Amino acid sequence: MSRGWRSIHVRNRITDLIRRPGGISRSQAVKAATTDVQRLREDLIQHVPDEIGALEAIADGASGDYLSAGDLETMLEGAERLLILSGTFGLTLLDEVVKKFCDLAAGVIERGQCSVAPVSVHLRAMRLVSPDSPPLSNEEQDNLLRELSKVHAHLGLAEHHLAEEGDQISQQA
Amino acid sequence: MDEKFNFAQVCALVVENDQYSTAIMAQILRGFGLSKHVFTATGEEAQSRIPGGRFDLMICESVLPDMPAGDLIRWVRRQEVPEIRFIPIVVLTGYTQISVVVSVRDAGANCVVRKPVSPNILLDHMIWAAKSDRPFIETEDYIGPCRRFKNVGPPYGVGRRKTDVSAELGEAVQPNMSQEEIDSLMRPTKVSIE
Repeated sequence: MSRGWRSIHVRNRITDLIRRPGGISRSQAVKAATTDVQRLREDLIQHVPDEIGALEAIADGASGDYLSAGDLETMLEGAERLLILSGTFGLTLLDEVVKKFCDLAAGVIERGQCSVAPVSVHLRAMRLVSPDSPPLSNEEQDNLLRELSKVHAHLGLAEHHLAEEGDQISQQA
Repeated sequence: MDEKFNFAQVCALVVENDQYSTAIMAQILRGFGLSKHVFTATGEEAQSRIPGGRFDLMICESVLPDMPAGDLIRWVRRQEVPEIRFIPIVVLTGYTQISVVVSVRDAGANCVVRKPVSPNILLDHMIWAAKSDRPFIETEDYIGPCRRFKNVGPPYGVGRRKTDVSAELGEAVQPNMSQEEIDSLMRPTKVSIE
C-alpha cells in the first residue's frame, strides 16, 4: 500500500465550456452524429471484401498447415477493422461471424499455433455473409452459425468468452 | 426540459491510427458540435501536440502502434501543467483488446468505451468524464481519477486507506436493538399511486 497519497478536487475547463448557452440536447447530438456517420456507409462498406481478402492472404501464406501466433495476432488486428465496419453499419451477421473468428483466434493463440483449417472455415463464412455476397436465408444463417459453433466446440473453446470477459471488465472500469 | 451541451469551444485530441475509426470518430464529434479536434496516429505525435495544444478532452485508442496507451496516459498524468495533467481521458477498446481495460484504467484513464463507438455511448461517457466529481488521487504508483467510485472495495493488492473505517468489529458499547425496534425502522406502508 502506498505510504503517501493526496486527493485533489479538479474542475476541468470542459465542465464550464459544455454548460455555455447555445448547446444542443443529448438526443439532438446523437441524432446528428448518427446521421453524419451513416453518410460514410457506402464509402466504408465497400472495404469489407478487401479486409476479408487481407485475412485470406495471411491464411494462404501460412507455412504448412499451421498459422503462428504472430499470424493470428495480425489477423486479429484485421478482424478488429472488420468489426468496426460491421458494428457501425449494422452488418449483424458479419459481426457475429467475425466475433466467432476472434474468439477462435484468441482462444488458440495461447497454444502457439493453429491449424489453418478452422481459420479457413471462418474466412469462408465471412465471404458468405459479406455485403457483396447474395443474402442468406434465415435457415442458412442459422446453419452457418451453428457449424461455426461446432468448430469451437471441437477445439474446446468457450463461446464468446471475449464478450463475457469484456462485459465484466468494462463494468469494473 | 432536456439538458443541453455546448461542445463548440471544446478542443479534443483523438489518438487513433485506424482509418475507419478516424473517419467515424470525426463524423461523430462533428455531429456533437465538437468541430475543434486534432487527430494523431501515434503516442509520440500526441506527446508532441499536447503541450501547446490546449486540449480539453483526450480520446485515445487502447492499442497504439508505437507505445501502449497506458504509457501515454501515465505520461499525461505526470505533466506539471494542471490543464494537461487532469484532462479527461476516454479510452476506446476493441473486441479483442479487453485485457488492456484494466491497464489503461490503472494508468489513469477516466473511462473506457468499447468499439465500435456508438454516438450515444460516447456522448454519455464524454459528458460523464467532463462532469464527474471524482477526485484525482496521487500516490507513488498512481495518478488519476479515484478508482473507488463504485462500491466494490479497493483493487486487488491495494490496502485500505487511513481514512477508511476500521475493518475490525469491536465489542458492542450499547445494548442491541430489539427486533421490534428494527422492524419499526423499516415498517412497510401502503402507498396509492394515482
